[in-house]
Amino acid sequence: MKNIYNSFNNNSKQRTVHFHPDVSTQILNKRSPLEKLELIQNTITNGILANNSIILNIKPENKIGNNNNNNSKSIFKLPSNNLNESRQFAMCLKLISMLIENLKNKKITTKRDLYYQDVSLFENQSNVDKLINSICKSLGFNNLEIGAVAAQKGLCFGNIDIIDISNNDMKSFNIKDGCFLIPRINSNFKIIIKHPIDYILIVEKDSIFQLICDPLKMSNNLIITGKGFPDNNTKMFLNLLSKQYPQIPIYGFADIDPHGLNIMKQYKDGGDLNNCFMVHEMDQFHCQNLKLLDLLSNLHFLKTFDCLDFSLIDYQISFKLIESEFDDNDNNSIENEKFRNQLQRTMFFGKKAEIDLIKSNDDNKSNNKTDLIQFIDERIKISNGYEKN
Amino acid sequence: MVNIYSVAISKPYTITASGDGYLKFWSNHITETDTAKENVKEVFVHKTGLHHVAVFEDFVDTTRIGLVATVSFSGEVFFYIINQTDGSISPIDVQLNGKGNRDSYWAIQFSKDEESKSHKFGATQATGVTKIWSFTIDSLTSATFTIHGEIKPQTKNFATSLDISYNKSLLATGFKNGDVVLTQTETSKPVYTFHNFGLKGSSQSSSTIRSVKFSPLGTLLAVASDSGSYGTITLYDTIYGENVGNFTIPSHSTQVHVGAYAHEGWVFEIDFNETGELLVSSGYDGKIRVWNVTTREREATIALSITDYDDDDIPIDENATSAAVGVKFIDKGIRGGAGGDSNDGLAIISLDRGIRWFREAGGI
Repeated sequence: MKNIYNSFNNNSKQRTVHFHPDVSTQILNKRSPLEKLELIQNTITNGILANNSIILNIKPENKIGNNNNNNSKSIFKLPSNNLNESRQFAMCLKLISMLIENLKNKKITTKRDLYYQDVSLFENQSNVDKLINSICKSLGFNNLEIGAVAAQKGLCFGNIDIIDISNNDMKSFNIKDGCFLIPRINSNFKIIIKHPIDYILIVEKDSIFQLICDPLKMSNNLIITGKGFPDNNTKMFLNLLSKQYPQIPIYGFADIDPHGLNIMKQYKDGGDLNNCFMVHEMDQFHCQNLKLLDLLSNLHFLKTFDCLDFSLIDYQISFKLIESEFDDNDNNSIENEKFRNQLQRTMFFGKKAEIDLIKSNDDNKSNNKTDLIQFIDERIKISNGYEKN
Repeated sequence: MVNIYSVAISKPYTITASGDGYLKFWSNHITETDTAKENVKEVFVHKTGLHHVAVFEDFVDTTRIGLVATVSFSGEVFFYIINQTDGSISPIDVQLNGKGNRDSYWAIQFSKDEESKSHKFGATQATGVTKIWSFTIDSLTSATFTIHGEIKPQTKNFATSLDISYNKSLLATGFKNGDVVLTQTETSKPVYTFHNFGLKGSSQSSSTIRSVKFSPLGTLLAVASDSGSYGTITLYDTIYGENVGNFTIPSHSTQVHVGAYAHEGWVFEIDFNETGELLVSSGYDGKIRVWNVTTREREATIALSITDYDDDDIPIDENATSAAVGVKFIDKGIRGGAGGDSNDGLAIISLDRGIRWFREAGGI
């Protein structure tokens, strides 16, 4: 059986292994990830055994802000004079064999685990991430389908049940047990909040999350953090919550700097899906109800927080962010204005602030935890009053 | 919700630039009984909002015009021409850079050549570079800008503020780290660097330069810079490069251990009057101070309050801050109303969304 996919050139004794979906999906459309990967592995090993030189053609990972390089390819040759190229080739082969092993055993691992299986070869985590990303894009699968996923990192604090509708599997969580890692979910999951709550609070940073998860003071609320940039799982969790409980207000609490605002924007509009792993069309990650807690207006933020100078990078992010934010004319004009207002003020003042530490008015450094919870309560009241105006 | 970030004075209009992306042209030809709000024209410039505005006045043939430049938060500069005969305002297309070259600008300033040979326009960038253009106004609808020079900073540091002195052919750039660099406008060669050291070591350390202004003759340079969360104003001699004094208020507070300051908050803008005898400063503490440059004494202090407005459109919010972010002197004979011809005035913008006009009392 002649296979165009493994184009074989007799003259130069070269085999080109195309990862590119334009080639692979046409021929291998119906094949499973395992079959595709095995075919690639076989082609490579057969090529090596036959003493042919091999060209590996992988669709590269899109770089952020540069979506026009879809046509460029990254090509690794074997043998090669270039050490880096050979290493890339070896890494790719190793990853494919590990993925095949996992798929055979129906095992899903984290990308971190894959890295630890051969640290000396992969050198650092980002090499693994990039390759997995490229393989996913080239073959047209998402990372769950090829069995290598990011470790979940979203945390949640609240009394909720999470039900997988497809098999009625239920996980139950209670605030008495502290916060929990948001389990891997998909759009078929249902989330049940077990008793009435006042609001859902999205916190940028883990450190703040840990401070305010207090079963006594925060029992009427649900708190979520994605520990910095949220992963798709956390965003989808919030998306499901906001769809199933549209009446519960959702507030975002982030550092007063462009990074914090950018992270809140990720929750709000779901982030740029073109730069994510392959995702299914029905998956949704946005949460338009998210309201940013207004920390700058009506407040001498100077006196409340420790202020730091804006760096050049902060300005560069701000210049970009302030333009991107308002391209879409949705109905959230007040929220858009709040985002813009906060960005403008930080740029104008040239200052940013981290909100880990709220300065108390009296010098007796009292319990920072209580301060922070009180502060958030106040800001939410002011936010509500602002809406009424 | 809308903040005004910058104010400039021209003969027909007081011009403000605000966060909603509008330039507002408030008529100066109004009497005591007119409402400022009803004599204002709006021009929408850019969705990201505007943070700087500057104006340049000259004649084209026999028509008196104003060339207005404004900078958006995305770093673009936009130009408009005011025809002072009929009061119309129209955008003009100006090429500052070669095609495809998109720089992000921050502070801007015009400099007028009294012999009308070579007017200058300067703009600073986040990377610390200051660019200088020569320009001519060709007609009521076009102006030509050609790059004249580029001043590169010693280290990459945000260039926050800028002023140009025609008389001394000097340009001053203020930086985030507290440095002010004095440069020859013609040659782009540095002359002096002044270091301003704000309060350090505290949680609010900051030395940011917020505003630099030459005196009308160009012999003095006034610098407003942060000292922690306080604001200081320093005077430098531009010929000998010496620090010649500070404007300070007496402090009895035990909280300030080091240094004297002019405002209990950052000083966002300073401005000389047309004779150079007075300097005005606007502070985050909601105060406007007028200083005598010779004696360095305070002549007057204006405390802004949210209740200054008698306007139902602005809800009174007790938590609102009247932090003053900009101030300009209004020369005699520009703004209408009693005493406008004989007394200096002030235009003040603040974070309570307001603009206020004040006039020196007496002599009416």
